Amino acid sequence: MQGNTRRTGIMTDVHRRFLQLLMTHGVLEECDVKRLQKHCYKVHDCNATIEKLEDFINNINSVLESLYIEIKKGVTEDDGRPIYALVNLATTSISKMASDFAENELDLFRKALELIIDSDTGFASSTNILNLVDQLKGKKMRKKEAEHVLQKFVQSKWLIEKEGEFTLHGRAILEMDQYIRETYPDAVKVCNICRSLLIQGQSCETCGIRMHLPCVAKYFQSNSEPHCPHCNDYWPHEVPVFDPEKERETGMSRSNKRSLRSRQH
Amino acid sequence: MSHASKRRRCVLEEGSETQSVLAVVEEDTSSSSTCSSSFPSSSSSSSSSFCPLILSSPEEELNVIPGPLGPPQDPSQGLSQDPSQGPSQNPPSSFLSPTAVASPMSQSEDGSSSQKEESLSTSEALPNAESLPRNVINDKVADLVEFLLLKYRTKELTTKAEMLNVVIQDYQDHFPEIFREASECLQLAFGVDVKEVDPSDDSYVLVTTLGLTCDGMMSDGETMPKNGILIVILSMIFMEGDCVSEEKVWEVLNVMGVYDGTDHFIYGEPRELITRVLVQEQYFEYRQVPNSDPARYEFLWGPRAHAEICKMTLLEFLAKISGSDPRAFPLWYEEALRQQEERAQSGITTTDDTSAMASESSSAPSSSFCPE
Repeated sequence: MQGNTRRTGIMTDVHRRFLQLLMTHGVLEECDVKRLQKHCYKVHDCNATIEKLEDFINNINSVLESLYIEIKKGVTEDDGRPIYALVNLATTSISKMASDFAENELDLFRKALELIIDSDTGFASSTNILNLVDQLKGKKMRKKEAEHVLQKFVQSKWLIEKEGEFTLHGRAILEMDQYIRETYPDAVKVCNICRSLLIQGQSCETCGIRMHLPCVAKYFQSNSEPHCPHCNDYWPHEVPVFDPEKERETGMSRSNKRSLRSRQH
Repeated sequence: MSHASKRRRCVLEEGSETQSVLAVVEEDTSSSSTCSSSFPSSSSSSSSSFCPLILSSPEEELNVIPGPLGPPQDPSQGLSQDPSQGPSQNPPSSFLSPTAVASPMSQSEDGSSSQKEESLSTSEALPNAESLPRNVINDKVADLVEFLLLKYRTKELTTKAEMLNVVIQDYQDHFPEIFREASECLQLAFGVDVKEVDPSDDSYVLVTTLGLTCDGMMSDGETMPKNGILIVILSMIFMEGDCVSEEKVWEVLNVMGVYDGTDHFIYGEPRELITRVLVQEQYFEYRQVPNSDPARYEFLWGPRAHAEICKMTLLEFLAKISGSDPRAFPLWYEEALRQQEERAQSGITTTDDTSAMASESSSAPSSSFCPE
């Protein structure tokens, strides 16, 4: 699309409702986004053809651009499902959370975040996080309370919990990308393939480069002898197989993937 | 250097107490002028008024972190935003046509000069002679939009004082301009209206202008299912004229399978929802019936309901479920029409809806007016 011949950039109530609802939900998976889009069309313009999602979103983003807001698309790190969130690009902070949490709760999140970034697996254990409760800013928080707060983070999709350990939800990765890169420039890990922020993934035992599980799946697709793209050593981990469509219908591939969790560092 | 990387907002850094502490914005006039010259001149007259959506430079590295699967961003995009095209359904009260909006802002008639970002001083009819460069205004507008969106999501009120303190800061004299542009952006892009609640303390509430939808979309969404119970109670209040007793509300809810004290699988704990959550969100007022002993309570429409709910829509909903037509309820129909007329007349001005509604409902049809 060139500057002078933009056919896009027309906001109608369809787009506005879409934005309102996306904002309300915080983060949505692609199938829900499509449903949301259909709903908005139904309400405001039921005779129109539903625009292709990618174009629909690009249209909206072109209007929001000057407000430094964007509908950003990301991918869940553990099973490669596309997700969408409305993100503010100019903010390098965790300000989205600020309205919903108290000062000490936000500090707990920051502490958990730091542990997650520093960890090798991308997970921080509940115990380790709770041990930092004494160092929190603001009102004193007891460990019992902190457990509850961590659950709040999970419910509002900032953290994911797996077997007593916590990692970042795709939403946090999307929204806090800049904040993380700027706050932890040395500790932050990046995927060798897509160059995006990496929290969970697989790493090469020889040269240390890391890759997201979905990126591994794509890169080594139907390659029976995977080698590290950097040092060419044999890739020691099991290559996951993702099929986002099928996954939602069968529950099976999920349990397979549990064994391929980031533990493979 | 991109805009995004220059603007820093460090929230909740050490010792900071305010919501957002804005660092100084570096002005990059050179790059902005480059971009303005590449601008299409077609929608020029509209550009200066809702400026951020048009004049701000779409710089190359605005999206700092390119994700592999992110939507492709074409940085050379200009923006031709002509809201009068297409099937845009802008509510007349808050969004005006481009030329109408443009006139108060830019004295310069021809498009080309209004696009030049440097020449701001004469084109703005501001009492304060000192004028801000375009990109500073854009940044402030973007900040204010973000702040107000937050308030919209949390359904909190805000005041002019809060906006000045948290967002505008050093540019207090330019508040009217920044506020106006931010309001326009919110309306244009999000369908959110900044409505004045109380002129005496300059308090505002953020409401949607798109109306509520009765059909929920998400099975696990929080906001949508709440609407069901909301609509039912609002309808009851509407039908009763002004307020409805708590006992009556529970009677109806029980028929729906919602019971006081029992967790409902969609609504959760209903008492909590209707007496606390929805009250906090200003959909209801929940008050004790005057002089009632033992204390009894009643529900009234709250300010947000007055602002967001169109009585006509409610009436249509009621008519639909009773298999009839809004005109089958002549007195309510009249009231709904009256509300429509008032809204069309009041436009963006600060109508205190509560008082308007109070005067309307005094002639309400129902004789069973509030508890015995």
